[in-house]
Amino acid sequence: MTYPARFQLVAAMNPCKCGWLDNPALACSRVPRCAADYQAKISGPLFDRIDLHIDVPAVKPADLALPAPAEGTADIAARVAAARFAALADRDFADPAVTVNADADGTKLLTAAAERLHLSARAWHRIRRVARTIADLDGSDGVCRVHVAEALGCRRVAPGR
Amino acid sequence: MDGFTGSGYADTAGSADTDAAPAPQKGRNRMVSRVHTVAFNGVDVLDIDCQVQLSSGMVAFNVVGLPDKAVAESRERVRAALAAMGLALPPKRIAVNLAPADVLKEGAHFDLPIAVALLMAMDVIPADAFENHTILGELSLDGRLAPVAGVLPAAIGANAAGRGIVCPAVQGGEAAWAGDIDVLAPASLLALVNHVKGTQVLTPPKPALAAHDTPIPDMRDVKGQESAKRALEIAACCSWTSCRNSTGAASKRCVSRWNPGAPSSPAPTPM
Repeated sequence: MTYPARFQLVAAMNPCKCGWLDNPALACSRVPRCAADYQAKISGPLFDRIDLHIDVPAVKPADLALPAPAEGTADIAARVAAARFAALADRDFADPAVTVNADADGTKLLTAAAERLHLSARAWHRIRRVARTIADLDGSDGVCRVHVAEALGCRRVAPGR
Repeated sequence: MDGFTGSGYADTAGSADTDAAPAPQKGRNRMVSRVHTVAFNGVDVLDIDCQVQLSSGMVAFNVVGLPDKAVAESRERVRAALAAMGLALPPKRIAVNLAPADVLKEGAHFDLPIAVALLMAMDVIPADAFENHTILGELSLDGRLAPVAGVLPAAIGANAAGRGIVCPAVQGGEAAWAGDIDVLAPASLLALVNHVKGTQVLTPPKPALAAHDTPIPDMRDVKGQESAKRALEIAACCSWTSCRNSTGAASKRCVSRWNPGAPSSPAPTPM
């Protein structure tokens, strides 16, 4: 066994100290500045290395009343396995010269977003890879604008931006 | 307790009569008994030589060799485990050394090697019984062996050194994964002594996985949170690192636990 170990980081945090950032009725009076202060506890470079950021809002009572979703872990796992197989079969990601076969629209979107959002070079590459993964999940050979857009949606947006 | 005839250390109704204990190495010039054990540095193992010497002098039981608190406390567990077998500690100066002495020894797995080396010094078991074994395990006060962390790396290390391993019974299946090595997995210190004496030979364990007693949660139990589930799916596909930011106190932890990925196949990308 050798280090560094291959691992996957899954982390969770509150958006702000009180935890009610997106709920005007319950949030404290210092919103949104308290969120910026709170999230600044994690350094920017560390956030930059986390590829998928998502907000998980509180479940609405209406959602709880819904019937259980038809899709279970087994179904999702099968889709994941297929996408991983596709990724292994098509490309060698260990090769640093790998290129992502983004269509022109996707590339344009990524370039524009990188300038608007001041993305780091790391973020740029990670978004391309996430987009490639999303395309694999989609069963698509090429990476399209929608895939890049979804990958961009998983980048972290600092509070108040 | 049976199996200890002639050991000379039967705890005779708490008698403190020092004359009742004959010299354990009568006619032999064996100063130190030693067994192999391990210390851990991450998942790497470092061979540790556990040495026990009984000498005349003030009655004491000392553990040296940079032990941490858990190792130093093993004295009490060893004393109690021996008492559970009907043996008293010899009224002598007992020195336990864990060599190399400059490496910090952490963990409770030194209990068993110390107890075994002590039993060898007391002539309860032959001094060469575990020449080719790495020993680790935690003792409880009644002499039973409690599971310890790191049995598999220790077994792999023992295999590389061409030795067998002695580990707690519940972890015999784990140690057996290390390959074609001699695994002794006794349930208690007494069972190990009986094995050495030949009165009750232990059967080698088969490789086994730890039992999953809790059912794995299912994505079907998560209502709403479609974006979170989608992100987990993407993360499972390529092992992307992910972070979720939530206002729903329980929901973010919930969804993390329901990750469909937990992929067993290697991730296709370097992180």
